Formats: sequence, C-alpha cells, structure tokens
Amino acid sequence: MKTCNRCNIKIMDDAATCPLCKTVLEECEGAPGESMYPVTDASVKSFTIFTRIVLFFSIVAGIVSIMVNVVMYDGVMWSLLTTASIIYFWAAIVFVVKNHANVASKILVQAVCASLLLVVIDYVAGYTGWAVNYVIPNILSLANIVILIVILVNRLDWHNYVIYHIMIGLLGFVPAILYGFSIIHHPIIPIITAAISLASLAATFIFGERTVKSELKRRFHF
Amino acid sequence: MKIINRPINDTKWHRLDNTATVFPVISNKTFSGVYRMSVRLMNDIDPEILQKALDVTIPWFDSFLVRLRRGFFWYYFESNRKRPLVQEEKNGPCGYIDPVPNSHLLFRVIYYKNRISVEVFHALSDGTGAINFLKELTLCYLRLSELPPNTPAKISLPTVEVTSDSEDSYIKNYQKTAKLKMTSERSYQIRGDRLPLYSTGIIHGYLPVDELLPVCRAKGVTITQYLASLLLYSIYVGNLNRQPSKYPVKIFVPVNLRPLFDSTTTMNFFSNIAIGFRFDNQEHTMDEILASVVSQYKEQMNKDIFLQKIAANVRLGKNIFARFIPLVIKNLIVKIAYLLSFDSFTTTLTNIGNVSVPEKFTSMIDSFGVQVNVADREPFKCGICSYGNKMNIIFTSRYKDAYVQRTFFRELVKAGVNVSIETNGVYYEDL
Repeated sequence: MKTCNRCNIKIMDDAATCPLCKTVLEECEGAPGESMYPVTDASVKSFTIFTRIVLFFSIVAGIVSIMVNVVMYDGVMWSLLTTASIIYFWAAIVFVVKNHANVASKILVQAVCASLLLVVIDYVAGYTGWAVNYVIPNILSLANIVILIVILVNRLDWHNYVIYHIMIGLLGFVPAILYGFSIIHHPIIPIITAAISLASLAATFIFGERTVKSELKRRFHF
Repeated sequence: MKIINRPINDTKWHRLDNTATVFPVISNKTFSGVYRMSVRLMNDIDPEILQKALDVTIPWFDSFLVRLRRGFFWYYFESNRKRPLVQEEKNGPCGYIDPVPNSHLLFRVIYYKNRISVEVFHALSDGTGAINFLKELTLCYLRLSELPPNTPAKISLPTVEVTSDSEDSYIKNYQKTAKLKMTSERSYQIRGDRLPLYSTGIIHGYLPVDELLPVCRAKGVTITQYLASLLLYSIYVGNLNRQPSKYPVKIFVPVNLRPLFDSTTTMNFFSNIAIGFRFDNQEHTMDEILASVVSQYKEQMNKDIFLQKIAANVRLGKNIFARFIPLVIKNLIVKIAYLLSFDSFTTTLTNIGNVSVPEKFTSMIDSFGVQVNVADREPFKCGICSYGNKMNIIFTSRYKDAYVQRTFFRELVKAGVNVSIETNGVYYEDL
C-alpha cells in the first residue's frame, strides 16, 4: 500500500501519484497496491465507419439527383423517385437488417414502407394506379400470411406478435375501403385481401382467445 | 421454482410503480439510470459457483425477471423466462443496460477479482430491493462455495428476509393531502472539465465507523447529517473556492419509505429530502452548515411531508386526462419536464446504512458498496454504505479533477478518521 503525505490518506491502487492531489506517493507497509477495476475502452462509437460512408453517399446521391433534376427539368420529377428510394433504404432495409425488433414488426414496417414507395413510383411514372390497384393489396395479403406463418412456427411467443398481426390485419381492409371511395377501380384483388385479413383476424381471435385478450389488455391498459 | 412450472402461455405482467415510469423515458446510452450494489469477498470469485448461486437465488426475486414493454398508454413489465447469466466485469460501472443482448433483462450480475456486483435499472427497484438481492446472492454463493465441487445446487430457503411483494406502495399509501408547495429554484452546478464520453471517475473512501462515530457524536449529529454537511462544505471549498454562489448548493438525499409506511415491496418506494445551503460569503464554517443541515432534516423528515410528496406523485398518474394520453406524447412531456428540472439539485447523496449478514458469514465478507450512475446532466454523486466497522463512501463523477473529493477526505482525516482510498484508474490517465 502507498500513502500520500499531503493528504494523509492511504492509497490502495497500484499508482505512482495521489488521485486527489497528484503528489508522488510513498511506499508504506501492507499488501502491494492492486487495481480493482478492469481497464476499459472508453472510445465507444455509435456508428461504424462503413455506416458513416454509406450514410454520407446516400445524402450526396439524394442532393445530386435533386440538383440534376431541377437543372435539366423535362416534365418528370424523377428525383422524387431516387430520394424516396434512398429514404426507403434507410427506413426499411436498415430497420430490418440492423434492428433487433420483433419479426412481425419488421414485416409490418416493410409492408407499409414498400407500399408508400410503390405509390411514389407510380405517381412519378405518370399515375396509372397499378400500385394501389394490384400490387399493394397483394403486399398486404402476403404480409398477413407471413405473419400467420411466423406465429404458427413460433407459437410460444404468440403474444409478442399479436399487436402487429392485428395492425396488418386492419390495414388489409384499406384497399377495399379505397374501392368504396372509388380511388381503386378493380374490386377483385382488394376484396381478396380483405377476405384474407378477415380470415386471419378471425383465426387469431378464435384460436388465441386468451393470449390475444390478455395481450390487448396489457397493451392498452390505462 | 414456480416460474418454470407456470403454464407457458400465461404471461404475467404488472405496471411500473409510480416513480419508475420516469426512468425508461430519460435513460439512454449516456444516462443509464443504472446503479450498482457490490460486495467484496475475501477470495476471488468462482464464476461457476456464482452462476449456480444466481440460478438458485433468482426465483425468490421474480420481480427482477421481467422485460419492459410499451403499451399504448403506459410502459409495463412482462414476465421474462430467460435465464440470467453472470458476466465478467469488462466495462465501467453503472453502464446502460441494453435490453436486447441482455435477454431483455433489466439487471446484470457481474464479477471482477473478489467482487460481485449487481447492476440494476432503476425502473425495476430501488437500492433496498437490490441490496437484498445482492445479499441473498452472496450468502448463497458463500454457502455453495463451502460445499465440495460438483455437488448439485439445492434450492433452500433464503437466509435473509425475502419477500416477493411487488405492490406499488405509492398508490397504496396515497391519501388526499394538502398540495405540496413545489419549489423549482435551480441550484448551483459544479463546474469543471468533463472526462471523455462514457468514462466515469470512481473514488472509494474506506473508513472505520468507530472513528467516525465519535466525531459525529461530538457534534450531536447523525452520520448521514455529518456526511451531507461535509459534502456541502467540500463543494464550497473544493469547487466554489469559498466564493459566494448565486444559487444554493442542494443535495438530493433519497429516503427509503418502507420503514415509515410499513411496506415490504421489492419495487421502488423512496422519496427524498433536499438538503441545501446558500453560500453567500467567504467565511462559512462546517459548524454553521451542520446546524443548518440538522434543522433541515428535522423539518423534512416528516411523515406528513412524505405523504404530500407521494400524493403529488400519484395524483399525476391518476389524472384521467393523463392516463389517456398516448405513451409517445407522455414520454415527450416527461422528457421536457426532466430537462427543465435536472438542475434543481447539485448532487445526490445516498446512504443505504449498515448492511448486516448472519454471523457465520461475517468473516467471509470484506465490504459492501453502492454506486450511483452519473451523466453529463447529473455529473457528480455519492453513495455510502457500511458493513461491520467498514464504511465505503463512493464518489462517482464525470469531472476530470477531484477537488471536492479531496476536500471531503482531507477533512475527515483532519477530524481524526483514518481514510484509505481506491479509484478506478481514470484519475491517473491524464499525466
């Protein structure tokens, strides 16, 4: 053990100077000093260099495409498409790859983001309605079925997926509602989507009665 | 082990207690909301025995086996069936507990050399709950390490008083009271250069209780009152350099409410008193501060005042409008309220008092310790506890210099107390 003559305090560390006053320490009797804390690396970085590079270039790409589009404008706002894709990449892909979130929530986020991106693409390419009429209803049906499969495979964790399943189930009715408002003109696919939603929601409530009820109670307790 | 035999689909859940709701909102990588309770034994820790001890002990503390979930209106705890694993200490103390790699558990058990530490996210429990857990874990470890190796660990009854009582004692003890007059005067904030991000300076001061006690007796004060006064004085001398300050120096002193309200909850049940002093000239003395601190204790250590504080706290959560605000917006409000109020205290001083263990174990334990997390917004804190005759005062700090700690320990030495200190090495690096 060492002692600081100015502080009159014993120092139990393996140190040359006093941590309080930086005076050089003097050896005294007792066991030799020992550090009781592991050496740690304080330089924790929240982003890796790779992430930084990709982030930087995606911002540059977005700026360049908007600039070129504005300067050489020929009636098509194609830069909307590139920027929307970049935002989709960060919002959806990164969320799905990096985040440790629940699988069902990833499917939900993916379905919603992809649908929005498709609407943008359709709009930029001179709106013909293919996205809302055909593709998005199918995406929603697919998401619905995939979540059902996830639940079947992972029955023990069913309650973790319930809330996302219900959300995607409710989204499945949106195309049919849009048909009601004549935004969608072809009824067949939206109706199939709504039917799949209805069936899978019914399955959830019938087979998972207690699980679903208690999960909803927890999630919405006030 | 009721947790394992429970029907697998029956997910248990409970609400967060009334103070806990704040922690999930304000906590992140830089403000962890985690505190550490540690114990030093005579020999190095055997991780295998520690894991066995943890497996045997944890079923008694099932309020620790939860994960935090977001509801639409409130956070809640859901039972977590993952097995907690002991880890070797690799990072600094009281680090953020990232739920994902930690099986969504909100505490960790770590060991280093001869020390076992339990780090707990404050939403789970306060110091009293955690020290009981650590004590039980340690005693179990000591019992198991006496057995010949490879003996299967048997589940036995816990040795200390263990309750698995997870009531919200705030709500239980809520009474309609007169409204508490809230003062939101800001306080003096210690000035100084900060350590690099994510590093914390730790200084332990070990001192014999039987040398400190006569000093306090001579002044006619309790140990906590003496140490709180000394901390005020140390900030005055060590950081203010005896200069007058526009704002008072104020210490947040947590108070365990369990004995006052006869509660045994393992969740949070504490309140606080505010011990302050306005340094307005260069001639303040320790005796002057002591007198003021004693009178503040007398005034604030009062069940009626705590009842008012509980009521103020519970009333907010009971408000019908507040209950139906979506969590996202609630969090925003809590965060803003926190950012507006964190400078109402200069520092925190928590004394969990004397930790006692059954007599046959006393010779196997060296000391206990409590550390409170610091961040740039709350950069300086002090945790005190004693075991037998050994008091362990731990300063956690984000400041590069240690003038306050120096004054504190030097004054103790001047008063005739033998002090030995130990650090985590941060203070040697900048030479």
